[in-house]
Amino acid sequence: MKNFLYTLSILIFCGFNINAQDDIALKRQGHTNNNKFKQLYEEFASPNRYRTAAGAPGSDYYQQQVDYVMNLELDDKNTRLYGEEIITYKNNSPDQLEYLWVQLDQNIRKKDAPALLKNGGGAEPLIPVEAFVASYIEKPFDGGFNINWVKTTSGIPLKYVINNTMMRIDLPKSIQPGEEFSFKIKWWYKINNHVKNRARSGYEYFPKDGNRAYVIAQFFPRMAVYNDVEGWQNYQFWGNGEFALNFGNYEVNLTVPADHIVEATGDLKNPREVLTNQEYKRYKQAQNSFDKPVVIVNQEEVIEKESEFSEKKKTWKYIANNVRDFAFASSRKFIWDMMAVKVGSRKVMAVSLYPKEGNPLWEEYSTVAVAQTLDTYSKYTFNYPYPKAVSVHAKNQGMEYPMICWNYGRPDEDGKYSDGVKYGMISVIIHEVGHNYFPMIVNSDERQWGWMDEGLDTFMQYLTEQEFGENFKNAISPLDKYPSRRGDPSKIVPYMSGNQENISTIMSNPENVFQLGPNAYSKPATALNILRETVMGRELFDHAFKTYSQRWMFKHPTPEDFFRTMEDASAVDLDWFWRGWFYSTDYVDIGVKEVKKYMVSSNPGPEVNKTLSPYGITVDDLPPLYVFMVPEDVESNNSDEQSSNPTNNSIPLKKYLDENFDSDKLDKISIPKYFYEIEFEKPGGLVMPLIVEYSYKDGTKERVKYPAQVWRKNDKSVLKVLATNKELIGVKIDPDMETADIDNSNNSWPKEKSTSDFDKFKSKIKG
Amino acid sequence: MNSVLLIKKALLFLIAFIQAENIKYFSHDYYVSTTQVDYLSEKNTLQITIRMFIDDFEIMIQENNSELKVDPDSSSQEINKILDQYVIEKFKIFVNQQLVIFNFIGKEYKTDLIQVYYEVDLIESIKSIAFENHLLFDFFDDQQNIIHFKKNKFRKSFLLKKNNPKTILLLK
Repeated sequence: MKNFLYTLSILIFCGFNINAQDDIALKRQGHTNNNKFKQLYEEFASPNRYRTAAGAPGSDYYQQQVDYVMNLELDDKNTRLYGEEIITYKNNSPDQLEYLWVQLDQNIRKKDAPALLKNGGGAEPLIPVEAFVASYIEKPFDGGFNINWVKTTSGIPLKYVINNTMMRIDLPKSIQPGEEFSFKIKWWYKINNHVKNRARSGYEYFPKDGNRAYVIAQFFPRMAVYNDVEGWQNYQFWGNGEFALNFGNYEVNLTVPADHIVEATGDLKNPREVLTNQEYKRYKQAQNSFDKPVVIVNQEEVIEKESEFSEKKKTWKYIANNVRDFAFASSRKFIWDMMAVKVGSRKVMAVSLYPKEGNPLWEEYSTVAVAQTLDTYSKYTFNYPYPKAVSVHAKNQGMEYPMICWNYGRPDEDGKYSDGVKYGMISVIIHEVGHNYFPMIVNSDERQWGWMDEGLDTFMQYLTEQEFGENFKNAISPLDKYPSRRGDPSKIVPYMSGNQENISTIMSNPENVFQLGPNAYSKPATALNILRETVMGRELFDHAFKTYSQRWMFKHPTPEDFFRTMEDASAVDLDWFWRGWFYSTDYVDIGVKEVKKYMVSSNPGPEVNKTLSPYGITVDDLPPLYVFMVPEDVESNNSDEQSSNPTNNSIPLKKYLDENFDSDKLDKISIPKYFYEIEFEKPGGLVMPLIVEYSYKDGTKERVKYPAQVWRKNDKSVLKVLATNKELIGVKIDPDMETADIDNSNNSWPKEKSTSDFDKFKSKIKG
Repeated sequence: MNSVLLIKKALLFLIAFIQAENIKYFSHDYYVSTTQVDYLSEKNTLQITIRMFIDDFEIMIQENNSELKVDPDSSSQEINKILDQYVIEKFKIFVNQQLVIFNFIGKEYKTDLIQVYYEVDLIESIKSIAFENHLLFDFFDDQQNIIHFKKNKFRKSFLLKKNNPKTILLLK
């Protein structure tokens, strides 16, 4: 009997439950591993010598190099752009290429482009007048490339086939690994009014003075990317999925009317030739102005130019090295200011270009917002490697290119603007200038993954806005914190708690998602913010994020490269996090279900007898090795015991302590008096650390963060015992609202009647 | 397929043309309002909280009177009046097929959002509740209006768009 009891005691000690035999169990279905903490072996591409399991470029990593020499002419009168370009393609891949794919993004504006027919839907009862006229009465805009010819550098015509926005060039002979191939294309196209059809590129027409401001991008035939992941990335341009581009060097000669001011990707090589003496003097002066912008062309000078239209031409010459694209802005309406910013040991020019319609907002905030962006992003990623960053004002635009971007934010005609316009403008400048890092330098494939640049950039935008608010207190007064629209966990709740039918996973192609904004921008940005603040902590996150940025600067990362690096550099397993936030549409909902109070008693509770009775033994048969814990509300408890120290209630405990601790030690240890069994529940599918605030009767509070792994064996609920000397009066989950919990009604014990904004407001106005 | 339907379909494709190359970053990327409708069965009332982006709201207000400024309001009284009229015209709730009367409680600004509060006193308990939400459809093609309905533990969400502005819910 003693032996049996000993075995039994071990069983109980180890927490085994004793169950009746269940015949049905034998017939139950099996299942595959659907644990939320399962590693992402099935979802991730296999690591290889191009991309390592650590998330870094592998020993055989390669990328193609594409250099361009272009002569361009902007015909302002007829709104046309003419170009002739020489493309030099260096095949660094181990593969031989029988043909090349060239992207013709402008073809999305052909009147018969399939992209125009891509959307379905029911009947529209309402249509805005402007849209009605544009689509019903006016002829649709007929844009797109006109290709004059494609030739070898020695002038032999090359055969090409155009499939919508992609052009295949059939080569006389395959390009071998390591070989270079040069060819040239002559083209022109009709420039669209970007305000009318909300395009990323085009002109804005100003009826008052008859001038146009051009912001021109994806305007030349550009090589598609060939790599180890996609082969040729020739997924058509449908409008939402942006660009996949190669790094290379650009030499561009841009001819425009002589009275235009131009900004573009790259270093201006001939400022003396294109600027007046006075402009040139100011331009040189700006190179050493670190405290405030120098205005190169001011508003009075612009107003004077607006009434003229120069018939003469000037050619602006640019050189840009190691960029993935080239864009430019040109108009006689542009005011131009710039200042020098110190980034590491280098000098970078922060530049703004805007029509007078942007003032007084633009002269005040644009260039300083550019400077702040360079500062914050460089701190978290790498020092900005290009010579300048330009913010151009274009109506309704927010679009990024290497070293240059288009941004909205326009005051009323009388120069007044609301806070909304001001913050919108500062935020969009930070966002678009920030895109220099993602995807211009950390060059992810936007055509396939919108979130890789938008999500990372929106996350960094949040950090930059907050620093802008700290550095420019006057600009945000009377607020004490910059009003960021995205990044804060509570702001993603309406989206994540919405109708599942209208939510896509982050790991979706941008063409196929329902709501691109929250899908590619806000949700990944919020996920990274939660990762930084709540899951990894700032130190581990910042190091891993910087490692990713530096590993992949001037290279082409994939999602796995990001996911793997974040884990590799931090020793935090995050497969569960990526699986939940990026590969599923689950949401966070964690609650507290029940709290039971226990005490140490001299008598066993009813549960003990229930456990022992099938074996025909009683409590008296047990060796004196157990402490009895009973629910406090059990009737048999006597009230003396309830208020007493646990050692007084349990002889085995007292004996054990006396035998194992000397009196010195015994004085120092504190023996908990209250024992609470707390049941946490998780109705939401997402796994999250369990952040709990315990409140005690003496007014003190205690925070405990149970790791996310607390859910690994039961995804629905978990029990925890809290042993304390203080009486527990409250339990609150996620007290700072840092996890994007979509339902707070189950977050408190005792249940707090959650007051809605409605109730709060109503009692306030009554009050 | 009749000819009217054909014209409508054609219109749709033309609208698709307008949206073919959406610009990627507006002040908030997407146009959306969210309305929380809580049914309090013990009081037999509806508590309605409409959330819109302030800049969208400002466009609507200035369409009525271009002199007005919001957050802070240049004239709260006039803005509330325009707002109330606009909501009553564009947002309708039918309980048991009867149009209900909205009582304007007030509005407040929260960061980039405006929250508008309405209360509805009901006469009989809800058997069916229908929503017709045209808020901001007259300003933005791609406006989406989300409605979250809640009755005790029961929740249901709807996504209403310009081409699909109505929905009905039958309750037990």
